[in-house]
Amino acid sequence: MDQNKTLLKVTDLTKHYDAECALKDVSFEVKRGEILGIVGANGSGKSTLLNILYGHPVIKNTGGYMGEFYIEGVKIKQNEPYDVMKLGIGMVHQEFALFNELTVAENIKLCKEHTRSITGLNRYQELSWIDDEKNRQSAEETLRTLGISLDTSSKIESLSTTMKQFVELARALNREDLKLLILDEPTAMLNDVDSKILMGLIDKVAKKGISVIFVSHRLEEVLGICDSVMVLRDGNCVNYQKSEMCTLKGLANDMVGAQIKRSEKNGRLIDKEVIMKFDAYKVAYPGEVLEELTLEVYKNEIIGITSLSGHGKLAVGKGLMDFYPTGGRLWFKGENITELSCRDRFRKGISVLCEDRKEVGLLLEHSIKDNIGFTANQVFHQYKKYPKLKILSPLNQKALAHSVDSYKSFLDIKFQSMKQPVKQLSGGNQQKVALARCLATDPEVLIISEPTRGIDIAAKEKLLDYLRIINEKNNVTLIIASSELEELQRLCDRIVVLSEGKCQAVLPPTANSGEFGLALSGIGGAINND
Amino acid sequence: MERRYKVPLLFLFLIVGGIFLSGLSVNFVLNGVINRFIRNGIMVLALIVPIKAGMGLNFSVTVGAMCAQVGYIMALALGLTSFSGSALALVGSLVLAVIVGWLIGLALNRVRGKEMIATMIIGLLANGIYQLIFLTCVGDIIPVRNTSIILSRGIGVRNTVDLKVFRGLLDNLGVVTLFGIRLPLVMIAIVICFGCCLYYLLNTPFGRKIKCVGDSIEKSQQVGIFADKIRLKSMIVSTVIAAVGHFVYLQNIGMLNVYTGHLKHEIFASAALMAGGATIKDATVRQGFVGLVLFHALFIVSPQAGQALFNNPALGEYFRSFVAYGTIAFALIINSEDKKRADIARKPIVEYSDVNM
Amino acid sequence: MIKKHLYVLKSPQYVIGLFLLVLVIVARNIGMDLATLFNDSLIKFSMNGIFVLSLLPMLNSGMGMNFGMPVGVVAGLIGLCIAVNYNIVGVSGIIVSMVLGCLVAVFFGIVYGRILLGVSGREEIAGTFIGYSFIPIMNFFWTLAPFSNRQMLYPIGGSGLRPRIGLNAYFGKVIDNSLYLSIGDIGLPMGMLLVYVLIGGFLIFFYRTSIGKAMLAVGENPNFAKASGMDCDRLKKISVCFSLALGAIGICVYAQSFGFIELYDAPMTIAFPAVSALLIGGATANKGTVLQGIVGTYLFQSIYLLSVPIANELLLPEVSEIMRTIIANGIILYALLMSHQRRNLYGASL
Repeated sequence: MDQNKTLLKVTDLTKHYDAECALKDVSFEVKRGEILGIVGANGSGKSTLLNILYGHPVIKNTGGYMGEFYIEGVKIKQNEPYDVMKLGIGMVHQEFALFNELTVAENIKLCKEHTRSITGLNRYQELSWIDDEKNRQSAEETLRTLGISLDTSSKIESLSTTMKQFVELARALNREDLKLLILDEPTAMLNDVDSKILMGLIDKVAKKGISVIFVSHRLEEVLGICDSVMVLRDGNCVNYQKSEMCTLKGLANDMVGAQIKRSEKNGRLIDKEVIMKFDAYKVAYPGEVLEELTLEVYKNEIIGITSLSGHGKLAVGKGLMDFYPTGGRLWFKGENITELSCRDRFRKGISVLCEDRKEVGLLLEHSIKDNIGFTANQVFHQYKKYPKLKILSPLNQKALAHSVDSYKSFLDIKFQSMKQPVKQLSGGNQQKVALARCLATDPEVLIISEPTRGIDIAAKEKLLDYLRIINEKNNVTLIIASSELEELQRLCDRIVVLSEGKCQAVLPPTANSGEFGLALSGIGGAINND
Repeated sequence: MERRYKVPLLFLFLIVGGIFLSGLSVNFVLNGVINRFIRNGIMVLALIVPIKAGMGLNFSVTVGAMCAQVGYIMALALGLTSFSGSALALVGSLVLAVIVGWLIGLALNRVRGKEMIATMIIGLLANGIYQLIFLTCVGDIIPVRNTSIILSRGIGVRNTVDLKVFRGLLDNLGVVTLFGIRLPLVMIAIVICFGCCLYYLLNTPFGRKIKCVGDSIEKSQQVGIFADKIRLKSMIVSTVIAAVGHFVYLQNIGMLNVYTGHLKHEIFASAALMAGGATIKDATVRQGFVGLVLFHALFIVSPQAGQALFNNPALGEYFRSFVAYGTIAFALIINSEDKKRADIARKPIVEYSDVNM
Repeated sequence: MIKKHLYVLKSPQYVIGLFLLVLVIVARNIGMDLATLFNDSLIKFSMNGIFVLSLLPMLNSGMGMNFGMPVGVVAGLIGLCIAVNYNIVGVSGIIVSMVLGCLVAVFFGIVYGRILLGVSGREEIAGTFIGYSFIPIMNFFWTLAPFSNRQMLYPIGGSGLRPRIGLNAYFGKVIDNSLYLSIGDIGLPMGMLLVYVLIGGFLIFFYRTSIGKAMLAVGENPNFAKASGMDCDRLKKISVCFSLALGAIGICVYAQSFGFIELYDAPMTIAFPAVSALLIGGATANKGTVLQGIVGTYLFQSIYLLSVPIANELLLPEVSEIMRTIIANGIILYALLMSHQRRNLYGASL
C-alpha cells in the first residue's frame, strides 16, 4: 500500500447557514493511514465540516456547500445524503447512535446485515431473512480485533458508557471497504485508562492503512496520536501543520483567539461581601453538564463564567430555573435556597436570562408590553389594576406602559408600538426586551447566559454598556456565562474557566490568552481562587 | 414487562366470569371466536407495522377497508362473477390501497407526534368522500354496466349489495368439526400464514429499519436510514394489509354494506391488539392473535351476561362499547406513564468518571 | 403589518365563505325563505356557540383541541336531569341545571385533567377515547340511577331514563323566548344572544387577567412559563375544569332551546363539529380567540342550515350530512397539517 497516496483532499470548503457563515475556505489533505487531528470549539465549524464529509441531510436541506472534496482523486458530487457512506467513510458520533432495544450485534451490523437469500439475488436483500448467526460472528470478530470481549446478544441499554463507545467504534469499523474513519470527540465520555485504550485502538486502525480524522478538544491526546493537526476557529482554518511542529500552548492559543488586547478594565475594588455561594453545585444539563462548581459571588461584582461548548458554562442558569436535576447546595445571602422552587428563588431576588431567549426567554407572539411586564406581574403581583381580585385582576395598562417607556429609553429598545408582537423585532431588540423583563423584577443578582448571542456588532457594544450600567447604578450583581472571552475580559472583575464541567481556574481579566487557552482545554489544573 | 400479561389476564378473567354468568356453552363461544378470527385476523395485523414504526395506532385502516369495498363494487359494476370477479376485486383493492397508503403516509410525515389523531381524522374524511362518490357519482358520472347495484332513483349504489357470486370459494374448504367446534382449516391457515409473513417481514433489514425509526428518528438519520421513506412504506404496507383483511372479511360474510361496512373496524382491531398486551409503542403478531381471540370472546358473552346480572341486555351492550373504547383509552394513558418512567431512567447523566469496563 | 389585527382572514375562511355564498345564491334561486332561515340561524348560532367557546380554555393553555368534550357535556346532562327530577321549572330550573352541571364538571375536570397531564403530546387522541369510553359508563348510570320523576323514566316494563326527555313542562325554551324582539320579518332572540355574549365577554375579560395571561403563556411556550416560575400543571388543570364547565353550560342552553334532553349516545357527536367550527373561524391547532369562535360558529351553522333544504330540493337528502362531514373533517385535517411545527430534525448539531 502506497503510504503516501492521498485519500481525502478538501479544497476551499465553505458553508453558509442563511446569513451565518459556518465554514470558510477550509482546505486540508489526509493521506492513507494518516491520522489528522481537528481541534476547535463548537461554533468553530467542526460539526459542520463533519456533517459535510459524512453526508448528513441537514447540509442538503440548508443549501448545500461550496468547495470540493475528493476521495482517492475522484471528485465527490453533492448527492443525496448518505451516498458518501458507500464510498467507505465511517463515523463514530459524539452522541452514540445506538439503539437501546437492539443488541450489540444488531447495532454493529445495522444497515449491513447478513441475510439468508433464497433467490440469490442481491436486489431483494432488503427483504431477505436476517441471518442472526452470521451477524453475531461478524460482530464478535470486529470486537476481537479491538481486543474487547462482550456478549454480543446483550442489549445496548445494559452496557456502561465506555462499552457503548467501543460498540460505536466497532460499528464504524465493521465493514470491508472502510477507507476513512471519522471520530467525533471519542474520549469525551471516557476516563483516562479507557481513553488510552481507545487511542491504542485508533493507532492500530491507522496502521492497517485506514485514514483517520480525529476531532477532539483534548490537546494532549491530539498531539499524542495525530500526524497532522488542523485548528478551526469561527469557521476558518487558523493553523494546519505536522504535529511535531505544534506545542500545547500554541494550540491552546490558536483555539481561543489570537492576541487579545490587554484589557483596559481598571481593576476595581469590590467589597468581599458574599451574596451568593455555590457549594459543589451540579447540574445535569444534557450536553452541557456542570460537574462541580464551588464559588463565592461577591455583592455588586461582575463575574464571568466561560468554557468550551458543552463544558458547563450554560448549566448554571438552567439549574437555577429547575430545568434539570441539580445537586450540591446553593446559598443566597446566607440562606440555603437549594430546596426552594424556581418561583421562590425569583422572589428572593435572583433573576435568570438564558441563552435560548427565543425558546425560553420570550413569548414571541405576545406584545412587547406583555413580555416586559410578565414576570413582574405573575411572580411579584405588580401592575395589577385591582389587587384585591388577585389572580383575576386585569393589568394596570397605564402603569405598565409607563414602565415600558422607561425601559425603552434606558435600554434604547427600538420598536414602533409596544403592542407589537416581539417576534417582529430584531435579535438585539428582542434581547433587550428579555433583559427589561428581568430588570422589571428588581433583582439583586442577575444570571445571564450568552448575552450577545445572535446580535449584530453595534448592538453588542451597547448591550455590554447597559450591563455595566445596571451593575454600577442599580447595584445588580451580574453572573455572565459566555463564550465570548473578549467581552468577559472587558466587563468582568473575575472570570471562572470551566473544563469538562469542573472549575479549572478563576482568572483575572488581565490574564493572557495562553492561560485562558490552557484552562479551557483542561490543562494545568491548579485552581486559583482569588 | 409484566404489563404485557396484565391486560390479557384481565380479559381472560372477565371472559371466564362472563361465560359463567351468561350460561352460554363454551362451544358456542369458541365457534363465534373462530368465525371472527377468520374474518378479522388479517385486519389486526395491519396495525402492527405502524406501531413498530413509531406512528401509534393507525386508525386509517378503515380507508384500506374502503379500498376493498371499492374493489368489489368495481367488479360487480363490470358484471364479473366468481373467480375472475374476485381476482379483479382483489387487484383493484390492492392498487388503490397502495395509492391511498402513499397519500396517508405523506400526510403523516407532516404531523410527527400527532399521527394518531391525524389518522383518525383522515379516516373520517375519507369516509365522507367515499360515501359522497358512491351516493352521487356512481350510476351518473361513472357509468355502470350492471345496474342491479344501483338505487332505484338511478344515481348511487344501493345500501347493501350481495356478494354471493363471489362467496364460498374458500370458505368451505377443509372444514373439520371437532367436539362440536367448526374449524375451517384452510381459512385459519391463511390467516396464520399472513401472520407468518408479517413476522418474516419484521425480521428483514427493512423490518429492522422500521424498528429503528420507531425507536428514534434522530438516531436513525445519524445512522443513514431515511426515516421519512420508511414511515411512508410502513403506511403503504399497513393500508394494503387492511385492504386484504377486509377483502377476506367481506368474502366470508357474503354481503356488503356499502355505506357502513367499513366503519368501526379500526376501533375493534385496535382494541383487540391492545387486549393482547400490545402497547402503542410495540406490538407483535402473537399479541395480535391472542388479543383477537380474547376481545371477541368477551364481545360474544357480554350481552347475555348483562341479561343475567341486571336483567337488561342493553347493559351488556354498553359493556361491550366500554371494553372497545376503554381498552384503547387505557393503552394511550398508561403508555405515556411508562414512557416517562423510562425516559427518566435513561436520562443521560453523563459520567465523566465512569470506571466500570 | 405593525398593529395586531383583530381578525385576520386566511385561506380556509375564503373557501368556506365562498361556499356559503354559493349556498345562499342557490337557496334564493330555489325560492327558499331567507328571513326564516336567518331567524333560525341566530338561534342555532347561540345554541351551539357555547360549545365552541368551551374549547378555548384548553386550546389556549396548550392542551390541544378538546375532543373529550363529552365529559363536560355529560356533567351538564347530570345537572339537567337532577333539576328535572326535582321538578324545578322556569328560569330557576335552567339556573340550577347550570350550577349543578358546573360543579360536576369541575369534579370531572380534576380527574380528567390529571389524566391528560400524563399524556402530554397526545391530549387530543387520548381525550377522544376517554370521552368515547366515558359514554358507555354513563349509559350504565342513566339506566341504573335512582331517578324518581316518572316522566323521565321508561314506561312500565323498562328500566332507566328515557333517551329523550321533554322539557316543555319544565324550562324548555326559557331563554329562547325571553327578551324576544321582532323587527318585521326578522326575530332576534335577545335572551339567547345575551347569554352567548355574556360568556364570550367573560372569556375576553378572563384572558386579560393575570391568570388568563399565565394560561396563554403556558399554551404558547411552556418552557417560558416554567422559566418564569409558573406552575404549568396547576394552570392546565384549571383550564380543563374551565372548559368542561363551559361545556356543561353549553348543553344546558342547547337542551332548553332544543326542547329535549338527549342522553345515552347523543354526546358522542358534539365534539367534532365544534372543533371544526372553531377552526373554520380561523383558529389554529394551538390558539384560538373568542372572535374566531363566534365567526366560525356562525359560518358552520349557516352551512348546516342551508345545506339541508337545498339537498332535499336536489333530491339527494343524505348528501347534506356527508358534505358537512367532509367539510368538518377536512378543516380539522388542514389545521393539523398546516400548523404542526415540523421539528427541524435535520438541524441536529450545528
